[in-house]
Amino acid sequence: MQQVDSNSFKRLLISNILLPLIIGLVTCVVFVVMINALIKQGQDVAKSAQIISMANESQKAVVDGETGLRGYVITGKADFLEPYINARNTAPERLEKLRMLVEGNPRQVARAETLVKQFESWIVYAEKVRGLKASGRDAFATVSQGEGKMIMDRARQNFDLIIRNEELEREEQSNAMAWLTDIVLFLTIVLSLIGSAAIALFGRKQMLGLSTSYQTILDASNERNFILQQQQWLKQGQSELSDKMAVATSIKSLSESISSHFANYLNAQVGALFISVNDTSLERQATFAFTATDEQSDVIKVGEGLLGQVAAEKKPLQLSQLPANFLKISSSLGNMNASNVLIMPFFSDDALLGVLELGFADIIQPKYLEYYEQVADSVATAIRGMQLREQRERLMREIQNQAEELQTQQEELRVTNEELSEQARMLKDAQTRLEGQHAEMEQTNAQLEEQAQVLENQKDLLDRRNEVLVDTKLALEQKATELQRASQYKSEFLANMSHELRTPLNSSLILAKLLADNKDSNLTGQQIEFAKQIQSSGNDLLHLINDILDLAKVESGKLDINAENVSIDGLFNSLRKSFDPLANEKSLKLSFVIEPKTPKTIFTDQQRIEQVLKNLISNSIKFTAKGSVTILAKLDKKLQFRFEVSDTGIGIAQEQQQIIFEAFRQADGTTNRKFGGTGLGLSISKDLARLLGGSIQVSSMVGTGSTFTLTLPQQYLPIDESITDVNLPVEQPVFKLPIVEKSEKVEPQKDAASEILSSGFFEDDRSSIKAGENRVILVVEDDHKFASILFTLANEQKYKCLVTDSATEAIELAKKYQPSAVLLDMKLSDHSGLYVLDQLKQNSKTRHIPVHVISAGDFSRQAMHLGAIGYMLKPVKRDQLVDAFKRIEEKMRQSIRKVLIVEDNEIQRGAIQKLIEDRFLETVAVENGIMALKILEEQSFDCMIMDLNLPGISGFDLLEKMNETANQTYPPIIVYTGRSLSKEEEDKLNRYSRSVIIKGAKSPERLMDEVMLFLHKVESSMDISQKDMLENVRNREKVFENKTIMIVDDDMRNTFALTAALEQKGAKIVIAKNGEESLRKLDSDRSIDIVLMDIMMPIMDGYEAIRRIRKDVVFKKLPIIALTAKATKDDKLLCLQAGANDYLSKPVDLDKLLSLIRIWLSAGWK
Amino acid sequence: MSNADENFEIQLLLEAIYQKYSYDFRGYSMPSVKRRVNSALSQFGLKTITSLQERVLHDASFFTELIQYLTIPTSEMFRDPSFFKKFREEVVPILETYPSLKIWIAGCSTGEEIYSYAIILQEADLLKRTTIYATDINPKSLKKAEQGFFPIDKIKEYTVNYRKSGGQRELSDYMITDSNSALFDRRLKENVVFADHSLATDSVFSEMQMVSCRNVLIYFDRELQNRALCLFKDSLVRRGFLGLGSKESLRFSDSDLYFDTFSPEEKIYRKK
Repeated sequence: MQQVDSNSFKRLLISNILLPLIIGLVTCVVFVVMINALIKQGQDVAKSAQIISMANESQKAVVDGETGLRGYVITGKADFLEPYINARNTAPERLEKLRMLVEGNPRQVARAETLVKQFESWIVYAEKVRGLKASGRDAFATVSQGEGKMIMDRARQNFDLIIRNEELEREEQSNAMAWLTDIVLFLTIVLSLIGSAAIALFGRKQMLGLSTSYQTILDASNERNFILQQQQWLKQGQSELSDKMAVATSIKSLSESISSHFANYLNAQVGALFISVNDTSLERQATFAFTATDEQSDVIKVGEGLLGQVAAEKKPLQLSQLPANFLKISSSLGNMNASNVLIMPFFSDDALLGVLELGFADIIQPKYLEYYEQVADSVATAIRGMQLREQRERLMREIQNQAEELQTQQEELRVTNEELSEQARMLKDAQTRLEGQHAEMEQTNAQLEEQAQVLENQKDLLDRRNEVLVDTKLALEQKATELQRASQYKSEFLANMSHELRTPLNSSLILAKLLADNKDSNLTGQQIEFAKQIQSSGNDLLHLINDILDLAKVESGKLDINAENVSIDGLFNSLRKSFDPLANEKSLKLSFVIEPKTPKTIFTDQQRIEQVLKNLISNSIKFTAKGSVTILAKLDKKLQFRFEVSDTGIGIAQEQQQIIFEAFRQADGTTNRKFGGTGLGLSISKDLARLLGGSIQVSSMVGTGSTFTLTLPQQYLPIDESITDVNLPVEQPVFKLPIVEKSEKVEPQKDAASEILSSGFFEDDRSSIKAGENRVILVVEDDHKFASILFTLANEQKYKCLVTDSATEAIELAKKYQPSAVLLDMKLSDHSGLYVLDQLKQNSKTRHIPVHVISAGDFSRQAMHLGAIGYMLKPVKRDQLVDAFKRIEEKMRQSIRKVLIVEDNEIQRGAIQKLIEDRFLETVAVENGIMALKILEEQSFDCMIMDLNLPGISGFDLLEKMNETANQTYPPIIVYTGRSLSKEEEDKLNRYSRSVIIKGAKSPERLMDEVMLFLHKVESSMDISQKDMLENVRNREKVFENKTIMIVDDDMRNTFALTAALEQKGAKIVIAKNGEESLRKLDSDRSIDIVLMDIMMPIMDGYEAIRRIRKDVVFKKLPIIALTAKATKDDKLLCLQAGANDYLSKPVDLDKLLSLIRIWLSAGWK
Repeated sequence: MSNADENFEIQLLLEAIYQKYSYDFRGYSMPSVKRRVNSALSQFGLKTITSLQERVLHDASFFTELIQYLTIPTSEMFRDPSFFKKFREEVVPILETYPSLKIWIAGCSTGEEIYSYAIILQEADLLKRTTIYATDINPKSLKKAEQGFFPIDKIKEYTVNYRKSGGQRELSDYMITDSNSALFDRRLKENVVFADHSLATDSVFSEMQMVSCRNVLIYFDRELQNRALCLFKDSLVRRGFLGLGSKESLRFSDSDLYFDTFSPEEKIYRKK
């Protein structure tokens, strides 16, 4: 319509403006053409006039020429000739002009040209005439002939024709022009009139149409404006609503935004929004000025009530003119009725999302519904979005929770895994051990069978002897005690004596050597001989003493075997070197033979095998006057090494062949005197051979010589403990008594107790032990009687006692009953005691239990290395047992570990002590070996740190001593020395101590670490004692109790407030008013656990005080918390640089302060 | 026994523990506590949680055993090596700018993490100006951490982790060993304060440049997680770092607003 209007408007413009313009233009053109025609006509007229005038002028010139000629002819006067001359000059010129003027009109041109010719012909005539005249001849005749006149007449005629023709044309043109002008004028007027009339007629019509259409447009525009306003209202509402909905973060807040917006925007006075919970029910999420009454439920089912109905139908519902009490709009001042209600559902994709109900006091305008229609979708989308968002968030939380849960489970799994792998490892260990045991048992079985047979045989014998035995028993017992005492004295005496002897002997030997050397050349030959004799005797004496010592050592089982691969060749070479001179001296043939197929090496103790062979060879040489001594090495049928030493000497009588192996005896009492020697050699050799796992046999015939055969296994194996244990009483009659005998002696009155033998091994206290009983001793001992002694003793010491003879059961019992201590024998029914010890120390549950070893065999070093707290060699006295119990008591009380430091340098001693002493470690420091030995007797230590350079006895000697006194259990040793050690020294040290440390820049820390690592291994502090844990658990809320806190502050109000707060927690408070006073108080009161230090104080400020406190080594770790008034970064840094552990800025946040103190108190420092 | 009854009994047990020993496990995540209580039951040979409760109430030493079940003392050195790599390469250069440092390792367990941090700080020459607060509620774990012994057979794995975390030296440089155990150089723990601190009951005690609390929050319920995170937030200086375990997140927590994510993969956050 608009398009049409604009077209018609254009047409209107065209018809009413363009048309008159065109008409005017046409008129103008007509007029211009007409005027142009008029101008042209004027020009033609002017030209005609010019032609006429030119024609006249030419005619006049011609006429003047004729006249002049005539006058000349007539008069003959030359004056008359002048016009003629003029005419002759001008006339052709004018005629030519005339010709040019009439150009375009051929007739006139022809006439003009004719005129030119006529004039020329006349000139010819005139010249003739003039010439005649001038020559004086008769011109009249010629003139009278009339030729001239005739030419002139014809010329005149032509002139007239030209003029008349021009005049005629001019008149014709004028007439035609006047007619055209009239016509044109007329036509113009007529045309203009017609045009104007047409314009007037059509223009008006169109203008009228235009005006009508304009009115229509105006009306439409008004209408649109109104609609726009409506839409603006809708739009604004829509955008406000979406703004509000956008900021909502939950269904609740979204609902509130929606309901309040609707209520406000639609001028409702009350409203409630229900959001769908599921397909069938809705829950009220937001209200607007609405007070729910009791009957009104928060949840509405779809289809229930009007709202439910709307929800079901998904169409808005409008209710008008409601009864007065249908819905009340209430404020604090009064009530009014809502007469109209609008219920609007929101749904998306047919899924119901919510229903909004609004109550109006006024009527509901239609635009409200329209507004609802407009926004319903976006509200639905928002609700849906929010529901999805909440759902997504719920899911994400769920996922996060599950991820965490998964991680927890993984962590738990890790722990279980670790436990499992630990168990698997233990199982594997157990299996290996079981396999070992199995093999062992098979072997034992075979042995047992053999032994059973032997026993059977012996039984008869025994039965017969029994009677005799019973008679002699009492006497024997008596003797045994005496003998035992005597042998002990003897051992001690021997040990002491040999030491005592050696010292003076050494000096006499050296002096004798000096004398014999006769450096000053002032001795006679005889004197030198004497000196040599002294030396030789001394040497003999030394050998004797060494022999005695060796024997003592061998018999007390203290000899160490250091097995290695010994080359037979090397061995023989060394022997050859030693004995060649001696053999040569006696002219004996000494030969060493190694049989083919004999292995090149034997794995045994080189020193000992050499000792034995030397002894045998020297004996052979000694007792052989002439002939030869042969040493043969070979393998026997059992693949054992045989070393045969054969000689061609005096031989030994059959009956004496056993005696020679007994100590202090020779075959013949007189032999000694003849051949020299102590008679101990063979005895020692035999013992050594036995220690090396072999034996010595002799075969001999008097007079023809003897053969001593040393048989050794190819591989030395340490003698099994159980075998030693069994053999000891038999094999060492000199120094030892059977244990059983002795214990019976010691505790004869306890026989009754030993009778309590049950179906198990021993009827002990296990039935009466309650859970949590903390005084329980586990006795692991296979000897009933000794076990019963220990049992009684334990009961006497107020311990409950468990007894077993089985290693396996011992471990189980230890795990189950967690005894305070274990008394452990090495020989058990199933395993060795070392196995039990190892197992106990490997299990975290039993690791802490102190184990005291009581055994007949000496395994003290291994036992101590495995972590035994003490070691006693059987036989033991009752006193020693009581001592052992004391040791256990001490161990139980001792929650901290004790370290003995042996160091002569006082500064060094102090330094080490300070270095390693902490709240878990107690140190005792002594300055020399003697004191060390003394204190070791009195107390038990977990570890010993010693210097090698000590006054009195040296470090090595100390170690030696400690090693010698086997009954004395000694702790593991760490050697801390500044000396560089030779390889031998190091080897030696390694035999006694666990770790060698060289003093150096980094070593104090290493020493500390070594001590810790060591104690950890031995005692396994890996697991904190139950006691410590209890302490911790009980004190969780009592950290402050019995703790001393020093507050250093000059402001009494501050001090007072802090004191009150801290005392309430159970802390003791020490107050210092300035830095100086704090130093004094610290010095006098060593109980201070933590210091709170103000910084700004008179006399001495906090920084200085902290610095001074830190200077004292004792307070290096004392927790100090600085309280700074200013809390700039610099202040804090200054506090820390001064040595404070942490800082708090004032005013102090009490919670934070308490927390910080708690942390530091819980960490501890002493 | 019905699930509700079991929950109820566990709640009673935890309440009893709290009342008697001030150890607060009430905010621990229920499924996990349930599993661990059950495992304790079978371990101690007890039939009901009530009987467990009875023993706990009357036997303090028994409780010390039970703690070992209620907490999960497991850790490894340089756990999630990429975390420590990130720490070494991106966090340490920032920490270097502080003249002195305080780091809180909350829930330090048996100490593996402490030594991991200490080694990295040592290598950056930062350790001597750092105080590390290492806290846990399990006294046994804390003690183990302080002792610094680790089973020798774990060291191989730790060495691999150390390498992966960007370590250039030998892990063995930091310890001495015997056949069973490795003991870390005591200088590593010179500035470490080993202390008892409960994220459930105790409060903020100092201001930290970094808090590391890895694989601890997973045992907590939402509320306790929020409490702990709030403690960390209050402990940290502005722009201080918070390191969490790989499955833990600040998302959904109340403290989310106060932190920027520094490394989303490694769960390192930075206080705003």
